Amino acid sequence: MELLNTSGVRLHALLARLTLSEDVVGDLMQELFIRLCRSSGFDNAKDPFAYAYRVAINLAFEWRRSMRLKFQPLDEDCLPAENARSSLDVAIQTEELQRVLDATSQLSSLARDVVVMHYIEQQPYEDIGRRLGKKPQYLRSLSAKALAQLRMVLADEKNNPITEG
Amino acid sequence: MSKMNEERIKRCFEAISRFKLSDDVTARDLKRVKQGLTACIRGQKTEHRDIWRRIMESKVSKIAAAAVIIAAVLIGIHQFGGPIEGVAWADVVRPILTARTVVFNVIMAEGENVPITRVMNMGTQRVRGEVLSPDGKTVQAISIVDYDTSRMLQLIPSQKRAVLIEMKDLPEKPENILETMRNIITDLQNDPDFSVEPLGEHEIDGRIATGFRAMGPDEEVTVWADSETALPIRMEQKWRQMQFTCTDFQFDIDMDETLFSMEIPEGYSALPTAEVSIGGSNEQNLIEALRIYAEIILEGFFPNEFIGQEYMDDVMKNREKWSQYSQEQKLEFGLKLLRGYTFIQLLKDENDWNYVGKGVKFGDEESPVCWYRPTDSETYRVIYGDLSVKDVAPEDLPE
Repeated sequence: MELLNTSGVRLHALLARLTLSEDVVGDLMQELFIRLCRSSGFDNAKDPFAYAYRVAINLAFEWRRSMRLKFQPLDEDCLPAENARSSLDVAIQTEELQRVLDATSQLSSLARDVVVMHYIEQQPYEDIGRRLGKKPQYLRSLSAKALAQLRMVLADEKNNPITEG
Repeated sequence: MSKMNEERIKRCFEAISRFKLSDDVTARDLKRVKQGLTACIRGQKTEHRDIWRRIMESKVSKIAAAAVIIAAVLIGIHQFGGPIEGVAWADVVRPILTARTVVFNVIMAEGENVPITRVMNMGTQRVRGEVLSPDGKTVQAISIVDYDTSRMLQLIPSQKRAVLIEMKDLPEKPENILETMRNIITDLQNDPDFSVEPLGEHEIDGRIATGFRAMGPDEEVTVWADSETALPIRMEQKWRQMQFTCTDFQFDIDMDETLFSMEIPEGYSALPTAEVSIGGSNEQNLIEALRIYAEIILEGFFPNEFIGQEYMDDVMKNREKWSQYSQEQKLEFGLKLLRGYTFIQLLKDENDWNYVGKGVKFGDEESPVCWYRPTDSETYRVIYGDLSVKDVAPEDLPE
């Protein structure tokens, strides 16, 4: 309950970014806290927020993998206002964001967590390293490999697009 | 749609990082969670059902809900009411975690002519492994391991030979394959990254089986279980650099204790007791193992893979070359390979192990065979075809 009071908003925002869907976030938040409520790993965690944060990332991508074959329309209203976006942002189609997140779900769990924490949550490698118990240099290298892997996954997808049914 | 280069992927992440729901939606969702959590803490079953019903009735797809059910079973969701229909991950791993005796076959690689090892576990102290011929009809070798005393009795029935091996300098009490399986599953379930992916139904060995894949940071387990009995039929496990498949499970069957005797059987001639130091396997052990592969097994070339199917194929195709060596030499080679193999198995993901020895000639001082980064080191250790080793900065690693 304490975690919900102190970090609920942040975890909710994280799930929102990883699902890009208002309809799903509430359910995943419920599921997250049910899992934590029943988890001995969470009870014994040195850093409960860090534990919850990783479970949240995992839950979001678990949902995303399950939904991979279904097209999810993006809640356009929740994107930054047009005038706040750079010219390149405008060019980025919402479908691309979904594709990038779907591709991210195919990374190893560690690479996926680092990509989310660094590129989406915009945390420095030093902070991520402390949280995950890894060296920043290793995380930089992992992150670079992950981006290369994402590029390949997205290129394969472009050549062999996933279709429904 | 334009080509996705890495810069564009970063821009997408940047756009995602600015995605924000309204404060009203956030407040509504947090209120819902708070209500559910209060009920959860109080252990009110009816409220639990209500949370569950809301999840099931939400706009999350049925596929997502099914995944949630499986995860929930693992965390004790049975308190919500009656049994959940269908086979769940918790059902299929339960016998592996709790059985008194377990018998199963282990295959370290797929393909033809790959030996099968029949593993019999009585508790977790004594284990008997029978290496079967590829057709499964002949027992080629037997290993009986006493994990309490760290001793292993190896028997070759066709030659009536036996050797007792004492495992020394173990960093900790050795772990048998059943314990390894149990620990992998338990570690997976306790990890914040734990997830279960339902794989649906497939026919496995003539039976309809339900599959699940569970993934963690270092490990991945895929289990196929009989859709009617929920008993495991096939289990594929990857842990660090190790990979194996288990089939033909039998649980809680009666086994004769003499199968696990450490006494040398009557009629067998015994080689002198051998000692093998497994603890503290190091880079030199790896180099010795590479030397045996390149010099003795493959006569001048390094294997296509150091661990895996191609390596197994290489070993099987070239096994007749071993016949020129004495039993003592073969034992020595085997123990050296074991030490090198152990070194690789114990490397973690952050050690970033890479093997590129395919096609490299033994003695080639220019071509790298493998590299890894020792724990806490800024540089990598690169081993070349002449088995020399150099410290190399990450940016200077071979392409």
